[in-house]
Amino acid sequence: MATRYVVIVPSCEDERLTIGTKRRHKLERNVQLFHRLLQEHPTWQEGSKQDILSIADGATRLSGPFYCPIIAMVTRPGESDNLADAIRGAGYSINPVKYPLVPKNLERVRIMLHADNTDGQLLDLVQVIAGWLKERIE
Amino acid sequence: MEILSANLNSCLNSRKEDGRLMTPYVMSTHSEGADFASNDTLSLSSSRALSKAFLEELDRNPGFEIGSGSSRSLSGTTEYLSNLEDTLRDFHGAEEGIIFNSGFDANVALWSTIPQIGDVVLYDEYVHASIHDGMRRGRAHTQPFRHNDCGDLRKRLTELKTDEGVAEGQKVVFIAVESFYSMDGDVVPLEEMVKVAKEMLPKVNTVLVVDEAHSNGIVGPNGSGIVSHFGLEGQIGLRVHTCGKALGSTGGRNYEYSPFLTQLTVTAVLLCNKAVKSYLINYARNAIFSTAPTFVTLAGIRAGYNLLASENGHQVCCYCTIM
Repeated sequence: MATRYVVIVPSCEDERLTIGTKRRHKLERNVQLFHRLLQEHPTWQEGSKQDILSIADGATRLSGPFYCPIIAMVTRPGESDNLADAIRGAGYSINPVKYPLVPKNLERVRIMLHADNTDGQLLDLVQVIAGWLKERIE
Repeated sequence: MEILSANLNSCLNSRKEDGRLMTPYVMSTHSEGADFASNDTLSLSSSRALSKAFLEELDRNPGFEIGSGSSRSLSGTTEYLSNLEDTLRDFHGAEEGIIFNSGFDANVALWSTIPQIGDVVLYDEYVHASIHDGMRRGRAHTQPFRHNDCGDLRKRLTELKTDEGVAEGQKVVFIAVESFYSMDGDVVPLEEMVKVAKEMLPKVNTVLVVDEAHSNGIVGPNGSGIVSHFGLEGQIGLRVHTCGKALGSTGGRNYEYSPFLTQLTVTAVLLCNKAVKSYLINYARNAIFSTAPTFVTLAGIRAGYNLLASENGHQVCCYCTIM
């Protein structure tokens, strides 16, 4: 990736840290990076304005102190399967979630981020979502 | 069977027509792509770090017997289980810990057993299905409050104070929340809820209960959870920590040991005090009538905690080497 992203978690390379803590820092970094890549994407900004796709409780996601790896991407009714299929089509595993697991009008694609997701995978995921969104922007 | 199948298919078809039929996705067909689906958030399972730690734990216990032989309430409490519960108790800063075969089991045991007749359970409207199942089997009055809404919680507590038993501190009010909500990924305003509970019921007859399913391993000192992050161990009466998420659910990868490890790491520890632990062993039906976790299950948990707690992922205490 050409762009460098600044994130505010400690280094994963400190030898005194536990394996769990190193992985936790990596996970926190990935969560922040994903939100940043998504929010800086012009298609996402436009799609959010048109209420095609939104993140549940998105406003608090970059403020910490916790960086939750669960990202609920709420679609319009009847569209979560379609978005999940687009992401699967790019070779990634993903789960759409519908009623009765969530309220009827709030179906979603549930993105789980991981410590071992690479920057390239995160960028690609954002691009797939943006591509899907672009087809729906009026 | 034909009539039964026809009846079941009628319900399934109705769900299909609504576009809500769940058809489990076969993960191995996409095993080359990245994982944006599993709860293996620290990638402990998919990276095989947990597999390695598990095999090392087996090596440290060459004489292990797989089965526990009986239920918790009878002779199923092995020394290894008892030692592991002590380790988890210490790791999370609790008085006691009791291991269940799953987070679902722990919640059903807790909510069906611990609240007494006359007690009240206020629960966040988004809490997990297992908490609902437990409450349904329990004896206390239950009432929801709006998701993550401290104002609504305050309102419900105000209403409850018209009950003399609640106002005078004879009846207990449980408040059931989750740390990270699994379908929304938002965080409980825990410190504020503790404050509201204290303000509204100064007789201290509230018990806050936090399900840490999605925060265990990824929040707090060494991943010990959101309660430990805020140093609220003394204020939160009960905590449920599952071991099947950040601590190593498989991530759906088709690795050699992954299907095995799925079975090992779906367990949970309920952090509590001595009275609650003893009460559960005596009254929780799934502690009494279900076989205690096997050695391999427990070794999987210890392996996961070893990764959280030690610099090189090796053992966190000495007695796990003795066999």
